[in-house]
Amino acid sequence: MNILASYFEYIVQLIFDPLLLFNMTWATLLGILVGVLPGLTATLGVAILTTLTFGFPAKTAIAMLICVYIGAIYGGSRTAIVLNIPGTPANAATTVDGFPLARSGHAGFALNAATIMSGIGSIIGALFIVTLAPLLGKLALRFGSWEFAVLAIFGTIIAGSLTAPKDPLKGWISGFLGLMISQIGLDEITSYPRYTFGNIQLYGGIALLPVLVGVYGIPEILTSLKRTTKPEMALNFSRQKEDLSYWRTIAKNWLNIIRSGITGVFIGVIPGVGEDVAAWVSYDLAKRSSKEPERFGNGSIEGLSAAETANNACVAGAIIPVLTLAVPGSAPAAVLLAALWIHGVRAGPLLPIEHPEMIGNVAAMFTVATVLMVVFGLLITRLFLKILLVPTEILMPMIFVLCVVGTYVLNGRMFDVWIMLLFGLLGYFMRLNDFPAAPFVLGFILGPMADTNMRRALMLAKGSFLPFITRPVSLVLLIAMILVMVSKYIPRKRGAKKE
Amino acid sequence: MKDKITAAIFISLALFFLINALLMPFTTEYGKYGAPGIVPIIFSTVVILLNLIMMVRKRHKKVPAQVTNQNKLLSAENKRLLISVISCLTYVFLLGHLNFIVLTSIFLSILSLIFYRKKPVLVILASVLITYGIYYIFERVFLLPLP
Repeated sequence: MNILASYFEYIVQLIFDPLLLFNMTWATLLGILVGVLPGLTATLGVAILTTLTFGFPAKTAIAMLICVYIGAIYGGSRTAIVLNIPGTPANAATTVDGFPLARSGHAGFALNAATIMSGIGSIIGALFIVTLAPLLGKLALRFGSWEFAVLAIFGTIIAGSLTAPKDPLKGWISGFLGLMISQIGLDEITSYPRYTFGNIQLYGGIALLPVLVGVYGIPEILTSLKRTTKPEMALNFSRQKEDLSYWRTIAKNWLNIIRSGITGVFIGVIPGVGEDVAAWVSYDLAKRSSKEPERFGNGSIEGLSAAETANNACVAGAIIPVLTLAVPGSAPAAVLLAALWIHGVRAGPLLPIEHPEMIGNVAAMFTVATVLMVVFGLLITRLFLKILLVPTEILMPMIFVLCVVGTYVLNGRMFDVWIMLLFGLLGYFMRLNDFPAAPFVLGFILGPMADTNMRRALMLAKGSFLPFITRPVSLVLLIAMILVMVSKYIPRKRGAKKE
Repeated sequence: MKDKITAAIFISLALFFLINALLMPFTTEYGKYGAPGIVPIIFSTVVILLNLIMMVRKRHKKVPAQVTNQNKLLSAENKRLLISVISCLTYVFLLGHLNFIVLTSIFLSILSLIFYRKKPVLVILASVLITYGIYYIFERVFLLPLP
């Protein structure tokens, strides 16, 4: 009850801080713009703004990053609806029904309905931050080195399984590559320089931001620049159907909306999985429980509502483990975690003790950002679509310069820019060969946590692996991990036999 | 075949990590379980094993594309990709050696004009303005030095 009361108090504080509100406003607009532009992901948006907010007070910077994150995930629905190209991967499921709706002359309705659903999804998410994060935080306080070590590997494997459903092996390879590469730099326990080969720049390890910008940004830029075909635009706002009322849509879909919101939040909590999976799972659930499943794929409002509610609710879900476990639920949340570190906020089980106001504050920031997103979405969404008239050939080189500059200013060294390019090429190679990027990034983030905790656990147990299976949480995580891996393998074999 | 080549590349990388991890000290002031190579050995071994599985597994062969237009499109796309990669690498290589505003304006103009062959004056003007905008925001507003 205390946290809920302080949540409302923080909302009032945010609204009555004009400078903070101004910064949140332009950050939300920037986020929507990032989302609208195909090729720019929420991860890249949060990463670029992290460099820009480097000198800002922690509270302002975190609020702005949340605004960009929410704005970008929502903004991606704009292009998904009018262009049939998801602005961010999170909006891939939106295209399935959003574009047919727009093509049939209801672009305006589809855009506004997506705005409202995204808003509802975000509010559901904010309520879960207030209620679920403290519970998870209490549970996390009981975690020892064994649990953290298993959690790091569990997260990477789950991310691999869910982001590469057709070939989970590639997802796991991607995740373990990330874990392996994260070992570069000074070892946290003995300070032994690993894989540094005398290069002082490598002693601190490879920074997260160049890796993120490289793996997510560069492949997008290269893919967009090499594309020779132009997409079709469905900017037809002419028709208004009488039965397409926003209130009626909400009233008819309330169960679908709540289910999608909750699904989004819980998928967001799973390490590294992200908004795209949340949207697809919710879309699938909506289709299965719909009275009109045949309309899915042909402009179903239920489908559009499920996808848009879930991806925005997932943003909140992804932030919950960032705050309580220091484990990101999605790629943009990983940048947010890095930004928290940069601003001196140590996320993890000790956060409620060191910064008791943080969870309530983040939920409040989330709510205010949602209100800004809905207001801008309903008022100036068509104006934002004008940006799509700027040719990709002009836009992408600009984005590349922003990636380079953003990476450089972080530490003021060209070494990071070269690292960004190297990981960019690796990311492009992985994309060409259908390896998902999310488990790689998650593995890279969780690698140091896995390393330190695994060795600490071995030292505490004098080399015994037994505590990994005798401690309940560790055992549950291990069993879940094995079940996930086995369940992914068995159906594939059965399918192969049938063929 | 594509998977086998990728697996071979990743196995080579993991072998490099594994060999170097084996060369790390095995006795530390924290005892043998604090040895810095333990976890890298585990991770690189898992990468090798997973890639070996990918290398030996049987997969259904895809039907080869026979459409000539598709091949032409692919060739045009590869050309565009090559130009983009070379331009970007050259830009980063020259950063710090040439003035940021001059270099970035030239890079933006050239790369945009290579792919978008319309309105050259407008493209050049936009490139210069955008470069100055980026310079102004980072250097003047946020006081972050640029290369």
